[in-house]
Amino acid sequence: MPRIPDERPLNPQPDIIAALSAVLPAGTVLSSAAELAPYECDGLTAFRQRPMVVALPECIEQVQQVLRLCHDARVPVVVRGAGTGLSGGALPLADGVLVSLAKFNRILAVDPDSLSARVQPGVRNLAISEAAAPYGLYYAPDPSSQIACTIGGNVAENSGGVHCLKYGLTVHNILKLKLLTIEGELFEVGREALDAPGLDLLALLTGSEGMLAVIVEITVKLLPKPERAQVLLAAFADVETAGAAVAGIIAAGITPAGLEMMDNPAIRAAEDFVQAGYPVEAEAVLICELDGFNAEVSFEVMRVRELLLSAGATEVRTAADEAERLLFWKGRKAAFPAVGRLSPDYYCMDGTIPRRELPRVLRRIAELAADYSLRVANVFHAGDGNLHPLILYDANHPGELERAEELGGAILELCVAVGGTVTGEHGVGVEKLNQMCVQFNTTELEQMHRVKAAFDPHGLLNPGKAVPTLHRCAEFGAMHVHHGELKFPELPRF
Amino acid sequence: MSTPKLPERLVRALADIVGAEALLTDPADNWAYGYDNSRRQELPGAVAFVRTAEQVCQLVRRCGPAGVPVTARGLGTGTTGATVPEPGGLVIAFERMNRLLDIDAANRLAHVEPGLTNQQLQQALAPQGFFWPPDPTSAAVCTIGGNLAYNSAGPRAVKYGTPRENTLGLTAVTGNGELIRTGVETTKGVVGYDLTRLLIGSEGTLALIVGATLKLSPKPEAKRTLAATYRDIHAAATAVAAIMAQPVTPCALEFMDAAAIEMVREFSDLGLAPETGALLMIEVDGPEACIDLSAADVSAAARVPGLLTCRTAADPADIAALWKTRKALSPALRHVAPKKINEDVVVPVSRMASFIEGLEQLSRRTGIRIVNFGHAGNGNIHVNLLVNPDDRDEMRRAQECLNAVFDLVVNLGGTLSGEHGVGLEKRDFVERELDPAALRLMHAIKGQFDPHGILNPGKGLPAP
Repeated sequence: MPRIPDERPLNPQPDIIAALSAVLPAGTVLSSAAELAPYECDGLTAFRQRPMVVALPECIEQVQQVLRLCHDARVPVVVRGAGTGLSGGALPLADGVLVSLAKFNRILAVDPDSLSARVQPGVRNLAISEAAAPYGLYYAPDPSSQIACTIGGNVAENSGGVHCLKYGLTVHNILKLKLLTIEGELFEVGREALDAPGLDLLALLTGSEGMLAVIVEITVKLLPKPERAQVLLAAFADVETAGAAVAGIIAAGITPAGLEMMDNPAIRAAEDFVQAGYPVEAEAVLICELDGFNAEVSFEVMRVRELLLSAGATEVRTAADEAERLLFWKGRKAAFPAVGRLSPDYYCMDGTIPRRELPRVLRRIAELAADYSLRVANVFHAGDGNLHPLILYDANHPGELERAEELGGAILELCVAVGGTVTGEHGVGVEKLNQMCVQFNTTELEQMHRVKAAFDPHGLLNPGKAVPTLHRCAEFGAMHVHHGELKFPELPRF
Repeated sequence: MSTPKLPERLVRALADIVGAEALLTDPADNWAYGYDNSRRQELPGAVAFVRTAEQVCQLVRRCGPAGVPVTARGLGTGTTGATVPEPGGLVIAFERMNRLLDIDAANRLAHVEPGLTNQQLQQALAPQGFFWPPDPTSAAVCTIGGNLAYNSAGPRAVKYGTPRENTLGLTAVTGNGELIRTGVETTKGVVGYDLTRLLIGSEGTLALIVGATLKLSPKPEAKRTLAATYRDIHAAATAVAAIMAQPVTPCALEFMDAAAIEMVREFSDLGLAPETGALLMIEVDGPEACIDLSAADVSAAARVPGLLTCRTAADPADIAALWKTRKALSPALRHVAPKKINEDVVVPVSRMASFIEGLEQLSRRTGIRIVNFGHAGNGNIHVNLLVNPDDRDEMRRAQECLNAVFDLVVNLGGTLSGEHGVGLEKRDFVERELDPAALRLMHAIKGQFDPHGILNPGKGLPAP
């Protein structure tokens, strides 16, 4: 896998640095090597690239000026929030301007009557819920990085989180966006009211990874806090039974607020790390959170308990109090750093599969891991089939990183083969460009490039991300998929 | 009026694609496929009944280079003219492409063809304990393809969302005659641009939907119905805000204003107190074991100052009695003003009372009687201007009034179309709501999906 996926010939135009300095306040244009270093990657640290220059605008007018300069000089632009993205969506370009929206960090209004809040893109996800808390409200999507990640980044990547099974992704929880075109023109999409006329640009822009327009303001939907949340922890003697139990809960018509699964390596790592009281002998645990009003939760806890036991759980515990509920979650939320202690490096995947395929895919991942002589720990959002296999490797052992990447690619292709998708919530960025060639055919990818051209005809906004060029797909060798010879023709391939 | 005729060669080519028995070319036959529920009508040059996606691709590939406009049609129940064809154009009728391909309970999804009716789908899902939430009033006769093209919702949208929230993926044919798949089979997925939502609600202007993967919801075990009456619209609007701010989201929250109640009262004695100024109909659903508690929570939230009565019903007869007023409304309206202007607009829930007040002022100023009802939970209001189209002076005042209604909506941060779409009816008002850059981008996107400009031209967006 090439380190830098952007296929354009480099066209450095250092004059832009002086031009930016002329329009932005002192100290907000960074160009020395030391100043650029912190911006060279986002949460996908395997890819690194220093930008030519970093701009830190403070207001919409300044962003407009930056964009106009870049547009006129044909300099590419990458926008960055907190840099917590896991797919390299904010990876800079060597000849590009990196625009950090870190200074756009104000909550402009919380409106408890219309259950909404208007915020700048650099506001942290959790800060919105904190500001809404006095009104008994909160912002539902909760990516694991919510203490640090920004709402602008959430919109750009259409981030999910533990609770999106019940409450949806970012796209389901925003009402309105204020954006700038690459020419610097300000426009608004969406309404505070249900459904605006014309095309649904709000949805199109959400998850577009900064490739269509630059977000400068967001109106999010707030929800009333549930009266009560209760958690069950179920242990299983094998992973496949746990997978089947997930399908059973969903098919029974229950929509938990969260339904998470951890396999034995992840359980042991988490238990060693935070002592959450997990059953370390279990091959898998399910953590099921139910929320809502009191009576509803009591009833659903009983139903889910019965379902888990009849699906073959060896043990089902219900958190006795809020402290125990938080403890059950603590193990899950600490799982990633805990797994990090098992191995010097790990590679986090993000494929999503239809729920019924869980048992089969988990078994196949274990087989693949054995083939590649690597360990894999599984911690994931089971309720919506969103897998996060963590591939453990040691970059200091020659060849391990490459093997890990190959195994990762094989896992994602497996996800597509069973009717799933290569990313559930982390986005494509630079990481999954090859797998996009597997998931979509030439016509479909071309249509996406055409949509980009409608917004950004010169290809200046975050070029090289999210949608692979056809040339790249040809090189990746996936083109044969596109002539009606699908690898798995019997599978529905949405 | 002369309608452009399709060239003989093209007609033969179209017949080769779908079969001669599936192509109408006689104007007498074609007329029946030239209108929808907007009372507009145009004569298409041909009507093709398709059964496969491949046929749609081939038809569009034929029409593109010839510059023949193509309009998709389900069963023509739309109210804004989006399925009214261009004169002399091709109507692609999906009524025979109506199979339910499969229902997958463990993954809560179903694959359907576009011509399946909403009701056929619901009937097939019910025995498995599921439903598809969008429930337009015309569910018995409207197609899924049409629901997706318009993003048609219904009362349940307040809890379950519109078709955009209930569709996982689509297959569609672009203006180049190319088949594309959008979206995923999973509830999550962030691969590439969200073309699924872009196509939903695009009124057949970007691509023709030939298949859909629908997200299913578990059918609730039980339901309770509440009817609450209020002294005035302010009290009712306060109650709506209070209901929406507590954790039990109702699955329907409908309202009628004083003018609507007055209208019904002229026709039947409903036993409503004379001082009744607004009515809310509220439904909650959920597990049997806790439905009464949910209903109690909602009922508590509905009890705001200005409440006159609040009743909860559980058994079907009681429920029917509560719905009597609301159900009497449509027949009453048809009787008083069969050719009324019915506009479907949305305002933020917190501004509903201001909106109704504004409408009352407008009614006084223009002398046009305005009756309002709709889905209060998401601020979706059906504004009915009771007019007689034969009275030219009244129609002039109605146009003026309508104009002011749309301004009022936009000024309150609302939107011009809640669930009926834009079509031809509202096309020229869209500019008031959308930024010029947004409108320009929409046209640019249209150009990228439909380079020949043949897909339902002139619908949905004002001319660039």
